[in-house]
Amino acid sequence: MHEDLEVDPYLRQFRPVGPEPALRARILSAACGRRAWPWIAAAAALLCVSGALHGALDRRAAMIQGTPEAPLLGARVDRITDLLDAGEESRRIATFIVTADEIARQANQIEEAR
Amino acid sequence: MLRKAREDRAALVGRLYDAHGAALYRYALMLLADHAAAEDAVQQVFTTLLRHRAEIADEARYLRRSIRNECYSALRRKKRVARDDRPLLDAAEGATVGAEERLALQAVIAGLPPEQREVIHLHVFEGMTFVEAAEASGESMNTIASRYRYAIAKLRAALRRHPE
Repeated sequence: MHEDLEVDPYLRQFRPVGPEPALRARILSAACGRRAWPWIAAAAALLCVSGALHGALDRRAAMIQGTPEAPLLGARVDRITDLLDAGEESRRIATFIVTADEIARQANQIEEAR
Repeated sequence: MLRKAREDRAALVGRLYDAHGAALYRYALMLLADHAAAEDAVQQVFTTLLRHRAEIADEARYLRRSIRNECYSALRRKKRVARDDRPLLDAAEGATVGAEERLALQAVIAGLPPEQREVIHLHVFEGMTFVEAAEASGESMNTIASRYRYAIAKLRAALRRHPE
């Protein structure tokens, strides 16, 4: 232990370098940037035209939860949620978008298999 | 309404970054030994923070755990982290150390396993006791103490090989 004391005070003459000032702006921009707007408009339009499908999508979404693709879809939901405003409403919209997309993908696969 | 929500989010992120950003960055830098990777990790933590903000009881504790998880995930994703030319270490306030000495030490530190760099950071640079470092990292105190001993032994051996 005595030997440790020789290295320890020596190390204390240093400290890790701090972040560059630009990092703050980058983080604010990434976390709260304006890029959400086109997504919000697109998602709102999608919601309006496909309200009737919502119940069916919810049931299908529940089925998708248990599939091998579920973690990947969850990551996509997270990414889109972050691109929106990261709130609960955004998550609902993101889930809707990803689920609709996954259903379309699966429908295409079935079509191609025929 | 959406603009107000965005301003609230920006205020929250700005406040938390000002309070914890530099410390989180230094922690990430010591774990990853790479500035670009540390910047990415801190950015990811603050982006994810907004998703969970309603559930966060202790912001400092949440952020520390979050940056640690993000850094270890980054280390698992990348077999080898590319390093840029920016230095990892500065002279501490009031200390006078030469550039060569600093470069030699940071080369040795960068060569330690991330777990040992983490303990050096928490115990030496952040001044935590082993108990506090164990609490901060979620590891046992014995694990922390043992990692510290290994790290110090390696540093001592390396510094003997490269005396000032």
